[in-house]
Amino acid sequence: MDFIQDQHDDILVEVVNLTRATLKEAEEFKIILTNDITNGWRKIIVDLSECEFIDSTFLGALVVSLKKVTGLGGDLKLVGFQPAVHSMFELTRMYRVFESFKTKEEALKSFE
Amino acid sequence: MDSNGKYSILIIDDDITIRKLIGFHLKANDYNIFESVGADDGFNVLKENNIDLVLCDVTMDGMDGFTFCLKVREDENYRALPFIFVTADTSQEVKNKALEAGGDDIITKPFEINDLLVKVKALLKRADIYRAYGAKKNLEESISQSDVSKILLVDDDQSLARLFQYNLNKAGLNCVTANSTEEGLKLAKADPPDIIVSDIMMPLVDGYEFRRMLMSDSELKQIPFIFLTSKGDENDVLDGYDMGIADYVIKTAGPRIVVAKVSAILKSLGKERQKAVSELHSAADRMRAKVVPDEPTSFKGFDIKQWHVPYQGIPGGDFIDYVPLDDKNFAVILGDVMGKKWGAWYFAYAYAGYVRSALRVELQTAKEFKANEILQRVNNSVYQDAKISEVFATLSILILNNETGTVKYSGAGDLPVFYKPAGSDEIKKIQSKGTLLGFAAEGCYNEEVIELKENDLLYLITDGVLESRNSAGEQFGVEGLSNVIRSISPTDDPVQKIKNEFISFTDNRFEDDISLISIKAAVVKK
Repeated sequence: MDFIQDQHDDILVEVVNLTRATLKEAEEFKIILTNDITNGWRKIIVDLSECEFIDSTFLGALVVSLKKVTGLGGDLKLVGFQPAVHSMFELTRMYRVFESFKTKEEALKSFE
Repeated sequence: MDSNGKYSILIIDDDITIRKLIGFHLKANDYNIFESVGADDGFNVLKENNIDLVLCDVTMDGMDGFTFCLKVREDENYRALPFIFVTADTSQEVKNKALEAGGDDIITKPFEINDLLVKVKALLKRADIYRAYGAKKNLEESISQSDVSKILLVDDDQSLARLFQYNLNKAGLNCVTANSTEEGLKLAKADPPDIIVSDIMMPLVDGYEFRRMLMSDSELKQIPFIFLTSKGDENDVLDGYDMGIADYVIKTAGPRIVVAKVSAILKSLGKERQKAVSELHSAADRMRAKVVPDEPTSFKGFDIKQWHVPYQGIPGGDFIDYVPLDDKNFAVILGDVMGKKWGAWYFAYAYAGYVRSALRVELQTAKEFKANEILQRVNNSVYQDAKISEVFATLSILILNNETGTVKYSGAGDLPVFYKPAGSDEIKKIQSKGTLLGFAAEGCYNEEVIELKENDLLYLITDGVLESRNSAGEQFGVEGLSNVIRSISPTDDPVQKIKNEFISFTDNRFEDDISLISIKAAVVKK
C-alpha cells in the first residue's frame, strides 16, 4: 500500500508509504486527497516521514489539495521531513504555504 | 479569429448610439466588429461569420437578450462562445438570469470602456485555453505511454483465458481476465485498460451486448476493442465491424496471433499520440502561445544564452520569454507549470501561454519596472481565474538594465538564481521570497537588486536540472550545478559546459523539462 490512512477523531492522517514520491504516484494521491475532502475531511495531515525524495509533481498534488481544503475552511499540514525533502521545501519556499511539524503528535495537537 | 489574428465581436443592441460607442472602442483596440439591431439579425450574423464573442443587450424589441442567449446555446457550435450581457439594470435578479441564460459575464451601463475591454480580453483568452484543452480531452493518459499496456480479456472459458493471458504477459503486457461481461464491465470502469479483448459466445450477456454497453459509455467506447471467437462465419465478422471494433480474431488462430494484433494496435496508439502532439502544436500556434522561443532575443550589454529540452518532447511545463521594455531595460522570464506530468500536459501548455501573455501585457504597460509589482499583478489575474486554479506555476522575472548593470529579480516559488561573480570561486544563491503564482491573493513578492560587473554570470534554472539523476540514483543537485558553474571561465560558453556535464551525468536521460538561462554582463558603462 502506497498510501495508508489513519483517523484521529475528525483529523485524517495520510501516510505516504514511499521512499520516492514522484509523478508516478502524484495523480493517485491527488485523487485520494480530493476524495477525502469531498467526503468531508477538513483537517488533514500528510505524513512524509517515509519519503527520502518528493518531486515537484508530487508537491503539486499537495498544493492543489491544500488550496482546495483551505478554500473550505480546513487545513492540510505536513509532518516528517527527511533532509532532502526539507531542503526542497526550503528551496521552493513551500514552508510558507504549508504548516509543517516534526512529529505527527505535534501536528495533531495543532488542530485542537 | 480571422487570418490576421483579429478577433471578431458581435454587438447586439437596438440602440444605435450604444452600438457605435462600443464598436468605436473595440475597433480602436484591433477587433473586427459586427452589429445587429436584434436577435433575428443576430442569428444570421453568427451563422455567416466566424464570431469569437457576443456583447448583447438584455431588453430589445422582439426576442429579449436572455431568450436569444438560450437559443444560441442550444446550438452545439456556440456552447462555449463567450457571451457578455450589457444592461442598465443592476439588480441581482437580472444578474442571476444572465447566468442562467448561459451568459459568461455581465456589464452594467453606464460602464467604463476599460472595464469592458478587460472583460472582453479575459473571456477571449479563456476561450482559447478551453479550445486547446477540449481538443485533447481524451488523450490525458497518453503521456504515460512508457507504462506497461494493460489488456482486459473477457472469456467464460477460464482455461483458454489463462492461455491467452500467459502469452500476452510473456510479451511484456499486463493482461487481466474476467469470466463474464458483467465482471469485465466492472474491471473496465474501475481501471480503464488500453485494449479490450472479448469472446462473443458467453452465457447471460454475450460479447455483442458487452460491446453495446461499452459503446454507451463515453470513456470506455474510446478503448480499442477486439472480438475473440471460435465462430468464423463471415456475417459474424461483419456484425463485429459494424460495432466499431478494432479487430477480430478467430480463436483457432492461436495466442501468437492475438499478441501480434494487440501489439499492432498499441503501436498505432503511439502514432495517435504523436498526432495529438502535433495537433497540440498547431492549436498552440493558432493561439500564438509559443512557450519557448528558439533562441534568446539579444540585448546590448548582456550576453544571454538558453538551453531548453521539453520532457518526452512534449511542450508545456517550462516556459521562457524575453521582453524588451525600452532602450535600457529588458525582461527575462522563466516559469514552470506544475501539473504537466499528471495528465494535463496540453492544459499546462495553454496555461504557460496564458501566463506568458499576461506577463507581456503587464510588462508593456508598466510605468516603473519593478519586478515584484509586475509579479503581483500577474498573480492577481491568475489567482482570480478560479477555473484554472488547479494549476500553479513557479516564475522568475529578471529585469536587466544595460546602463547601470543592475538586475532586478523577483520570483514566485522558483529556485534561486545562481550568481557567479567574475574571478571568484564563490557561487551565491539569490533567493526570492514569494509564493507560487496563483496560490494566494497576496504573493508577498520581494525584489532583489544585483549589481553586475563585467563577466559576472547569472543562471536561471527549473527543477528538472537539479532533480535529474545518474544511473546510481544520485541527483545532479545544487552541488553538482555549483561545481560546474565554478569551473566556467570567462572564455567558456556559459551554457555549453553545463550542458555537456549534465548530459554525461544523466546519460542523456532527463526526468523533466530542462531549462537553463545564462546571463553574462558584457562591458557596462558606469
